Amino acid sequence: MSRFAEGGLIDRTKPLAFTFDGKPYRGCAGDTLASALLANGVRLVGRSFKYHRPRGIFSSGSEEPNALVELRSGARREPNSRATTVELYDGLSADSQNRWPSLDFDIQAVNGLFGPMLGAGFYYKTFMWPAALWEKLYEPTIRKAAGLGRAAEAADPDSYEKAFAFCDLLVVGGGASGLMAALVAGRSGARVILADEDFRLGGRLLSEKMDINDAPALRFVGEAEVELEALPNVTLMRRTTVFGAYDGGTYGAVERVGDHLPVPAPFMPRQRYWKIVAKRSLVCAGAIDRPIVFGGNDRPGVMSVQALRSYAVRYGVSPGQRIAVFANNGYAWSAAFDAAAAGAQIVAIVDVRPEPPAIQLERAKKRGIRVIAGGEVVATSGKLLSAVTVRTARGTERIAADVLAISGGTSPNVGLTSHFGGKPVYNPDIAGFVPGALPPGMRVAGAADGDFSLARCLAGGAAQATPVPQARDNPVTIAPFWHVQDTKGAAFVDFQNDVTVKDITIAHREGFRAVELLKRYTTLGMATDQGRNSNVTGLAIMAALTGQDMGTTGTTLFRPPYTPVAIGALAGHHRGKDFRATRPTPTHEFARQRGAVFVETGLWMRTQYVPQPGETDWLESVTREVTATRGGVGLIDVSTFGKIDLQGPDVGAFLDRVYINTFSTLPVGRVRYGVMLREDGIVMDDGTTARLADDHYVMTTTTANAAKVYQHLEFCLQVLWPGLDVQMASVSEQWAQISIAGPQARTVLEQVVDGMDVSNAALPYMGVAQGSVLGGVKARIFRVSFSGELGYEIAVPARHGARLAQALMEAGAPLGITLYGTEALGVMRIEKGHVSGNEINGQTSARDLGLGRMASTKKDFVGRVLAQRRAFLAPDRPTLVGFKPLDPKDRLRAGAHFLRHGRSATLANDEGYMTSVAYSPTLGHWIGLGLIAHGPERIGEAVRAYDPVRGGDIPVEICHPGFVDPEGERLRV
Amino acid sequence: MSEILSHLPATDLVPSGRHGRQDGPAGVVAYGVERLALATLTARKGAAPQVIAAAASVFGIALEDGPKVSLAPEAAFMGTSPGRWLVSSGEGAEGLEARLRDAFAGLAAVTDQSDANLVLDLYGPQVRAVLAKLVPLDLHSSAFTTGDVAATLVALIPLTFWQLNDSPAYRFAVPRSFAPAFLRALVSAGAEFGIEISGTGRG
Repeated sequence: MSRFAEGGLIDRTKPLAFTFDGKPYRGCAGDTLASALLANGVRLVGRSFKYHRPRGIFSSGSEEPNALVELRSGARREPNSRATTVELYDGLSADSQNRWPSLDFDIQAVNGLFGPMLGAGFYYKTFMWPAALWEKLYEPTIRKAAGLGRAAEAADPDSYEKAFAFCDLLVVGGGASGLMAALVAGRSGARVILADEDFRLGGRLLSEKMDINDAPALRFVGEAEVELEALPNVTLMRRTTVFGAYDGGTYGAVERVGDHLPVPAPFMPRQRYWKIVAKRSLVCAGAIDRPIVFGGNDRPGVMSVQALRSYAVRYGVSPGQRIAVFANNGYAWSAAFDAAAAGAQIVAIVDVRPEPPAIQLERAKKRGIRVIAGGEVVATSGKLLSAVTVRTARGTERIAADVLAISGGTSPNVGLTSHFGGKPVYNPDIAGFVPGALPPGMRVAGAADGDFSLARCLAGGAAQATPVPQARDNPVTIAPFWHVQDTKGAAFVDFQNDVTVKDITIAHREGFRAVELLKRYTTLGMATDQGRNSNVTGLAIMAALTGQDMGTTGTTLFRPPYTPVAIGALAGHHRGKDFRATRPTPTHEFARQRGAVFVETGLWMRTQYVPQPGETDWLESVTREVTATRGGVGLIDVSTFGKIDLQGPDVGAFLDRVYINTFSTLPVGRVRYGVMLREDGIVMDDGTTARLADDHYVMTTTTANAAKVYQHLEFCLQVLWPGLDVQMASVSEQWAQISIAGPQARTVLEQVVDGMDVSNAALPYMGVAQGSVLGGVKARIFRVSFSGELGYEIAVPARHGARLAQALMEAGAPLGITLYGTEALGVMRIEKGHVSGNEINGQTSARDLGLGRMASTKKDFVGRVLAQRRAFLAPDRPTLVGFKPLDPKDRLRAGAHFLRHGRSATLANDEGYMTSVAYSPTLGHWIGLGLIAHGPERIGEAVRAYDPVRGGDIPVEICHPGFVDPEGERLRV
Repeated sequence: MSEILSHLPATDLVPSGRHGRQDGPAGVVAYGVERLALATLTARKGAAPQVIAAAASVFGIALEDGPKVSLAPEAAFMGTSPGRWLVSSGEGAEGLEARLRDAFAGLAAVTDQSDANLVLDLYGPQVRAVLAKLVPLDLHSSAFTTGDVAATLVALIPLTFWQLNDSPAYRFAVPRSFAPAFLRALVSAGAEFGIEISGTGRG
């Protein structure tokens, strides 16, 4: 065990059992998985992505590139969990990934031997030829090797949710700057949200042995936390990562509500996705160490200096027995001293600077730490690190060490600040990039802004507030240093993607020098850490190669998310059955009790067909429903149609402009079928509109386009013709609408109306009557028909819909009334030659659908001009007609293309396609509607219906689209 | 919280009763309001001032043309867009429609909406915490208060709601066919606090 006897923010009285690769270990409350593994001496934790090189824990934060593990098992298994952020709980199980058969012995590590071959651009160059091998060999092989970790194979058993929060100030990060900012803003009464990705507030103060107001900084953290908790206007969000900045001061954040528990608490989500709307935000996201590049710098045991400090001070763990430090800056020295003070054994500090500051030399001397100034680590050895080779002007020396803590400087966490495209700016004083142009409403303070000293972090957080707590102002001392020349072994720039110095050299040589190209060509800065460790160093190496300075070289941008976000969190409640709303019709329960089979039509659930005992096949049921309706009477719920109430003196004029035909002349009490175009001349929707009074119309739209048509009409009224006096209201939800059709429909209707005269004379075809039914329920009765039979649509307030359907069924029972569904409705409309969604498919004009003559030439309307485009008027443009098989036994298929007999099946010979087909019980064979060139002029001609997808090729005859009652006599009886 | 809903058909209203956390008082209560007549009142082009004047003389209120509730003894007018109100009343659908037509004859269009919505009152100690998971608007007392109205999207459902009192209680008018989906989202959001539903027998 390498746990110190005392110290740190862990609770040694609360031991927690966990397993890693099946082996049992113990940690403490307050540990992360990483700190607990180190406390148990586990140093090999993963295999790298490309070369499968053994890797250890590098960092102590969310930027961890190496220690990615599969957390939990079974349905809850979560790959690529960063051990450094996984909060330890009792019973935790984790497994290493990207290795087979074991972490210690991994077959694919052989990739490392081919390292010289697998460099940047390997895939681009190698798999170019022979092309034939791509599908069979290259792609499958690459796919097998690609990816990291295994996703769970079963559905996630946990739940996720979304939530909204609003504040005056969002503080991102709860370190010195963030706490100070929240205190100042909170005390002023502002609504403040402080979010921190850690499970404990304090940031660097949890790991650095610093004083604030002459007391340990932790006391300041504790007091700040107590005060903030007590302020009603301040919300502390721990375990919450603000992952993105978006328009309008919106920020995306994920709160890990139950990730630190074996399973989430009852009725609690695993994670909660927050949309935080903030008037202002202050990013206090701190900074992280970046590595120095040298040969063998990825060996398990090499870690960042700040991680060393964090493990020693916060977690009371020494990551090794003999620790060497390799750095170029003073902050690294203070980290080493803190670690030593906590109990870690620091054997040497190697600094590239020939003359480190005297004050630090003094402190090292006092602690008995050997200093090698002007030194560079040129090699490491051991499968797990056992020694480092240091080169100075005096020669090379081998130092036994099982941990090498490295720091090439500190990089501000600028992620969020560049989400609006602001390029980070190079600041030579800290040899790092600081935020550039910020998103609106955002400011940055503390280390994230390049202010690394604690005093300045506190002051920056407090902005103009007084008094600022007192802390020492340690100046930044750094000599820019990126990588060691002439070293032994692969020198890794990006641990996560196995990008080496050599790869950057190749990219430079081959011309991929711009930072964005460098990134894509080498994969530098991709994957979960998004280059937070590697970017600056990689760019510095490119800058050196091109001879440009860092500022000119620039940096790539950071995009959301800052750290990976589970898709489940983004979906929240909306998964499975709740992906979208399911809308039942007013007669849903009525139909369910009668054994209806339902079908999703958009969000609606509609009756598809209603099988009766003994029926084994949907077609059998549908055929019965059609026959019964045409022979007697049938009933279907058509409440799903869009219904729009239109009132005002200008409704007639308005409808004349949105429909191709005229409605201002429609008499009161009459209904008219109308067609609406999009501005580009394509048919948008069709439906019937009734005139209830001089200034009162009610429109129906198709089910599918209800919302779209309403939106279109709103647009027309608000934007195109704001002068029209029209009041519009959706009444789709208000009215249940039940359709009855068939020669006996009137007989049934007569039994439910309250003394209304519904005779053919009083309520003729395309008439509307208002009155009441069922003894006092107000009703509108439209005599319209989609099926081609005598038909009525009876509208009643929605709560009475089921009762009306029930009453109609009872009234029609002696006549054999039949409940039917959308399938039978579809068959009947095809028999009748009515167009529907298959024909009004966003590609057809009114002329294509045989509705061209409906268009008024005496008025203007939406889509009129563009419908006259030459292509729309081309004589060979496919036009609607009917089709029937020459052999009545043949089945038609929608989607089949039409070819003239004797022509080969090529695109040039294509004459159109079948849009809708149905088995017609009335005719006893299959029928279809379709679009074919010169259609109406070719009635009687035979063509091929060619269907290569399903292997069909049958002769069909072009016919009039009205298969049943083409003269419409049945409608008017 | 799909687990507690998985046994329910997505087309059904979540039944009355306690859902989610069972111990302690329910964090939120959802009460289905029956027999409330609703109608939309839309001023004719440019006639909003006359509508306001008529409201003053007939209903004795200063009708606000904005997202506010204007409360008369026998009806409440909720502003939903410029010159447009959702009016509620306990006097029955026919009564309300007739009364509004009478009061605003020639000045406004009246459309009965009494059957178009499930009207649900939400209150309880955790009502704001629950609504924070559903409503994309700031409901903090400094931003949204008694008498405020919003037309918005909740769980992908377009709806209107308003604040009834300072307790706070909110009244939601949920489009009828979306009521099952709304209740499912509500129960999901309220499960951690426990949610009591009543009056959802209507379907």
